[in-house]
Amino acid sequence: MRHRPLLSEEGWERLCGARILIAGVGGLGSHVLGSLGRLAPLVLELWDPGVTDEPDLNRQVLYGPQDLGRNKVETAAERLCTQNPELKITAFAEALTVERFAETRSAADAPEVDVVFDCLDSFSARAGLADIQLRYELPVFHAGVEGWYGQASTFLSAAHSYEQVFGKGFREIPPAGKPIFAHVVAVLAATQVSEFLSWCEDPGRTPLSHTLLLYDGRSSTIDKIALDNSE
Amino acid sequence: MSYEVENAGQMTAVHVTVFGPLTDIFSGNRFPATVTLPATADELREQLVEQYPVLADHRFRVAVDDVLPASSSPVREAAEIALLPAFAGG
Repeated sequence: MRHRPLLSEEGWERLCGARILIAGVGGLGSHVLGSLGRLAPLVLELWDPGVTDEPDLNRQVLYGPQDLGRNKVETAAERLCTQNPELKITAFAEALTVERFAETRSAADAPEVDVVFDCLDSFSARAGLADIQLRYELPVFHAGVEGWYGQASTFLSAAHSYEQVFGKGFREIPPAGKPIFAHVVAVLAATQVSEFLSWCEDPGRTPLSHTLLLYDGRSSTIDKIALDNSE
Repeated sequence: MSYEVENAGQMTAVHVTVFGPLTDIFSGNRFPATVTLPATADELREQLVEQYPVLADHRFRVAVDDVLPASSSPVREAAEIALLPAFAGG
């Protein structure tokens, strides 16, 4: 693979051995998967209850008009296996909750995944992911987008999670009320994949493991805010 | 981020920097406010929401000097203040 020399031997081995859960295969998820699928013969676990709808097509790059009404995870798995037949993909066409996650493991105390990509599209879904992170101490590569804007961070422990940063219990905005540009989604998804590759090199720290990155697509600016761990 | 602080006893006039969709609300990336400092990050948030009730509809945290402090951390005078929204979409 052409990118192989860019990683150390240890980093490459960690990449190839990683079991990766993708929470949400919509905008962020389909961009993330497009990159991950070409990285290595990865083990991927996809979770998303949604079916492809017409408004999704402006940014969800794995899907086309022929996929309208189909489960996203099934379509995504098909496309990815065509792209890279060496991928090992398990797909769950349902919402990711700590209860269902536990039920789908062969042993209650074994997450059987090594890292999680937070590509979810609501605060309530992220609350479910926070429960999984709390129970299994999984690293989470987070991104969120809205309109011209987005954010990304990496939460390496439950003590430093999405809820720790933004708190609990926020009013949901209906998905139809959240216009989003594809290029903004692409920037944040690429950042998540970059963070994952940094994790492969050093699981103890990544560039955004104690930092919130803010992207403004209107002004093409990126700001970084340090996260205080004292809470 | 930039800031301006003008002391007036305990009440302090500040300019607050905003990010993301909050810039649409304030038609720019800064807005003026008067706050009582020092205060904790949570108290500062409450003061800003009281002056600009539209903020109550948004999920955001208060950053101080390019750091997102614990909610109980004190915000000193002449601090650089910014509001960071949370983005739900994916």
